[in-house]
Amino acid sequence: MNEMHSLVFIVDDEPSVCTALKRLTRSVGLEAQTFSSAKEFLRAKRPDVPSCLILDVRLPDLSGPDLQRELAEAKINIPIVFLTGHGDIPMSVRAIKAGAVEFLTKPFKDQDLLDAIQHGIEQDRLARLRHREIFEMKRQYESLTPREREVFPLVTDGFLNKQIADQLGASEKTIKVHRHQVMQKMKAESLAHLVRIAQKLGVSSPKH
Amino acid sequence: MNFVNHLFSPSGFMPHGYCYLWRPDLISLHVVSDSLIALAYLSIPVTLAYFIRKRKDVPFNWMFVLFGVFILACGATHLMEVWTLWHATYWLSGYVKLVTALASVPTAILLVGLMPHALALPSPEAMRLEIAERKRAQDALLTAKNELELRVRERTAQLVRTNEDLVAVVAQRERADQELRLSEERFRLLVERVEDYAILMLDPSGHVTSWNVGAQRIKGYRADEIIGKHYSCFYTEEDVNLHKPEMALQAASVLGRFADEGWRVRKDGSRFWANAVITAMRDSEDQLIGFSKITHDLTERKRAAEALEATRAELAHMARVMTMGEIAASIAHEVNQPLTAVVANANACSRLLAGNSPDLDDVREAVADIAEAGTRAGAIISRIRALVKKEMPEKTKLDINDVVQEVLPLTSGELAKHRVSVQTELFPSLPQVLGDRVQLQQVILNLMMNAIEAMTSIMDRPRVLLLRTQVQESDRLSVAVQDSGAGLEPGNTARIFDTFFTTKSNGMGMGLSISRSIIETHGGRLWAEPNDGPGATFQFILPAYPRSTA
Repeated sequence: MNEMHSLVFIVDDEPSVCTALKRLTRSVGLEAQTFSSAKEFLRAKRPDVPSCLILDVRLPDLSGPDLQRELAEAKINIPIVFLTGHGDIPMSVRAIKAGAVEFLTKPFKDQDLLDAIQHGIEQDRLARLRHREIFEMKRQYESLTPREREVFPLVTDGFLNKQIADQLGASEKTIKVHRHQVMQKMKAESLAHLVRIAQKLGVSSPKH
Repeated sequence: MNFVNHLFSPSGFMPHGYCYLWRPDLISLHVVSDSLIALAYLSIPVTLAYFIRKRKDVPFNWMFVLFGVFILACGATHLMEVWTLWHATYWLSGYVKLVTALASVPTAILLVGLMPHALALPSPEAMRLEIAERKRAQDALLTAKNELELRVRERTAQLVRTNEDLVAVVAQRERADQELRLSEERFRLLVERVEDYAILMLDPSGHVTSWNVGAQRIKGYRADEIIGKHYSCFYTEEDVNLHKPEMALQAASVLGRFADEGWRVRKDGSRFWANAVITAMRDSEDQLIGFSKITHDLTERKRAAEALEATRAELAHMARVMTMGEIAASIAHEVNQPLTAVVANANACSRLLAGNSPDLDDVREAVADIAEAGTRAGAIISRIRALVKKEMPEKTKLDINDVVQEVLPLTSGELAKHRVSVQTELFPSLPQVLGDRVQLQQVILNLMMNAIEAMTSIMDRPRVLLLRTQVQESDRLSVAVQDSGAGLEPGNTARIFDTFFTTKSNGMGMGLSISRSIIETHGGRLWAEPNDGPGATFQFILPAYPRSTA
């Protein structure tokens, strides 16, 4: 993991807390940006690097959980580490269920926060990788012909070429060519690999 | 005896009848004549004696006595003439003649001597004239007397009338006197029997001259123990050393009346809180004749007032603690923020210093931030401690803007929690007020909490709390807490300050009533009014502390 290419966002209305958190993250070599409100964070242009958001629950105007919801609605999947003044269990449960990485009560152990940040950034990095992989698969999938897209789910469902030919009313040889094209275009090394790709793309035959 | 025998013995002489030859006719003539003369002579002195007895006013009455004696003696000689006709006692008859002579000769001599005096006696004519004159004079006198009597009668009648009037006046005065005495008696009894007030009189120098039941009850002295003593024994030693008793009399004599409240001492040494009024008493010539002093024992009232004050303070404290309880979470958040900064900065320092070439400037900044945040947390905690500490209210000079600034950090958690933005319009160089800092903080805190609460249901407009301090008229200042909340329900505006009146589901209804009582004990006024736009404004006015003495 290249830490120079990651970023920590800190949103807290208390300037001294922002400064202290920025200083702490920087002490372990992490870059940080601070924001005094959720709206300021939303308005800001964020670099497209693996990142983690440290978010105070109680904020003026838009609260931490409100920001979490807005980000989810906007499909911005940035890992969130919540900070709160007092341990409110129902709120922490809701936040974690909604995808928060960690829910820390102020004042917290620095290692807990740093671990959570590392975990968040790693999660984001993986998510970004996954996102890129799926993006690639989708691009590959879009290069398939309509006939190949018909053949694809039947192959991953485990049907033999003969059975597929019967279902589609084509010759077994033609299906064999299509199958080869799908494997090549989707860059699948084996049938098992193609099955995993199908799962990731959510591809399945119309019958099922 | 010999002489008497001698007198009555004939001694040989012949009776005188022999000279008349015992001729019966001659003897009869002499006897009858001499007897008649003797009888007449004996009767005359009796008549004379009767006359002078009756007429004591007749002059020279001793002369009548002499005549009487002389005539009596003459009568005796004539009787002796008759006696010697038959008895020859010529010695006796001679001696009788001698006695007659002795009586008649001085009478004759004295009569001669008396003559000029007798001649000087008025004549009957003169007497008549004089009597007539006198009668005229008497008549005139009588007329005058009658006239005088008439006048006297008139005058008497007049005097009688005057006297009657006088009697009536005297009776009236007596009645008035009696009424006055009765009234004085009633008044005296009234004063003496009053138990609730000590009523006493002092002479001009302050010695007790009268004492009532109330004085005995309140001060413990009996009348006979205290009358004549100086009234300064009712004062405490400190007051006596400050010459308060003398000053009170001085003030009363100059001003006419002097009222005072303070601790006084009973006979047993215990103290009581008294209200005393000393009034100077002056006579018709404006001379000071003494003082009346009325003392009322207010110890119970003072204790009750102090108990009430203590209860009020206790209640205010309770309400404060409850408010602090309500906002404890958000206050904890306020303290937690600087603590978080402290911990995070400290950790950052550790990590920076653990590195190979630590950036010391960065470390210094972090340490400075730690100190700043720690100080801030401490300040918030001491404000909380001041608010929940139980102390009797103490009024000091203070700037109400400072009080507002002290409350703001305590509410910022609640403001953030309820997404309320706060604006302040604090009047620069506001005059000071005399007040209890904690209680005034409590009022502002309470009004802010109410304002925040009033805005929680507002979704369609900004939740704005405006705090404004202003000068009103120069000698007063106001603090207004304006919200953009739901506003006042018209029917509740008057009741919101009542104790236990609340529109909140979790409210006790004490905040506003206590706030109003706090402002009123500061000589101010607290009220609520609807805004022109949405929401309401709660406002209080306090008197400014005079600048001249500030």
